Amino acid sequence: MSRFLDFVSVAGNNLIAEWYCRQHVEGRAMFDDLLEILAKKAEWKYPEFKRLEDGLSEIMWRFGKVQHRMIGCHWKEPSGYLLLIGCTHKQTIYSPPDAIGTAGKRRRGLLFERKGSVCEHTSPEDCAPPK
Amino acid sequence: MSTRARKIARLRNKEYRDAFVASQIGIGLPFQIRALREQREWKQSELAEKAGMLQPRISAVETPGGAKFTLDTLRRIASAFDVALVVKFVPFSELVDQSEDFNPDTFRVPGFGDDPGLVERKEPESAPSDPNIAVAPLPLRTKSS
Repeated sequence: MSRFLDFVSVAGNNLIAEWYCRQHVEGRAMFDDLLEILAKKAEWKYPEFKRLEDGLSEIMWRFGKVQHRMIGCHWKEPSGYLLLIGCTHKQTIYSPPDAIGTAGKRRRGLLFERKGSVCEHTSPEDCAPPK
Repeated sequence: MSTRARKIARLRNKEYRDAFVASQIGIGLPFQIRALREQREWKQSELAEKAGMLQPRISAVETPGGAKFTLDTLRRIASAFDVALVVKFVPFSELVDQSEDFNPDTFRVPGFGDDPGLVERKEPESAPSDPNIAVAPLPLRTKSS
């Protein structure tokens, strides 16, 4: 059974919870269900999981006609899969375009500079409607 | 707070409840279909052939959120696996329990031929004699001359 962790910025903002609340409610429910299933799976593989460079990987799902990605990495202490940034993907283009770079920067910041922190992932129960 | 309790808290929102029903189909079904195919050690192309579909369509129905399912699609996939398909309206508590219990690594559904619930019970080889049952003697046949 895996558990998920959220990236928290230096300022103390849970950037994954913020991303979550910006999603359409159906997208939020899909993300919740996907994480729940992945938490039970012994092996993660394509089409819902792909390894990237620099120790990063991504969880993948579709909502509507849009490919969604949650870029993250396996984390040792506390152990779990660390969610670094949520984004969308079309062909080879990520949105935001520097999503992989940002994820790598966040991971390295945590590892080598103690920039930011992690906390256990829990999807917020109440999100304001997306703007 | 348990994951179940958190889920129930989110379900208090009507919009989320409706989305939860949709996501149980959009996310849960692809994992069910892949689990059944892998249980049978079939390639996607084999399932496609048995279901009368194209392989890219199977790839889509195995991708989380990758396909819009119709009852006809599900019926064809169920037929290919030779399993039954249940579509029914249920209270949310039942769907929550189902989602909590679902694990794609242990999800198994036998086809009709391997369904242990359908194996007929064997009758005893010789029925015990019951003195209350009267056995009428068979009429003797005589050869007509």
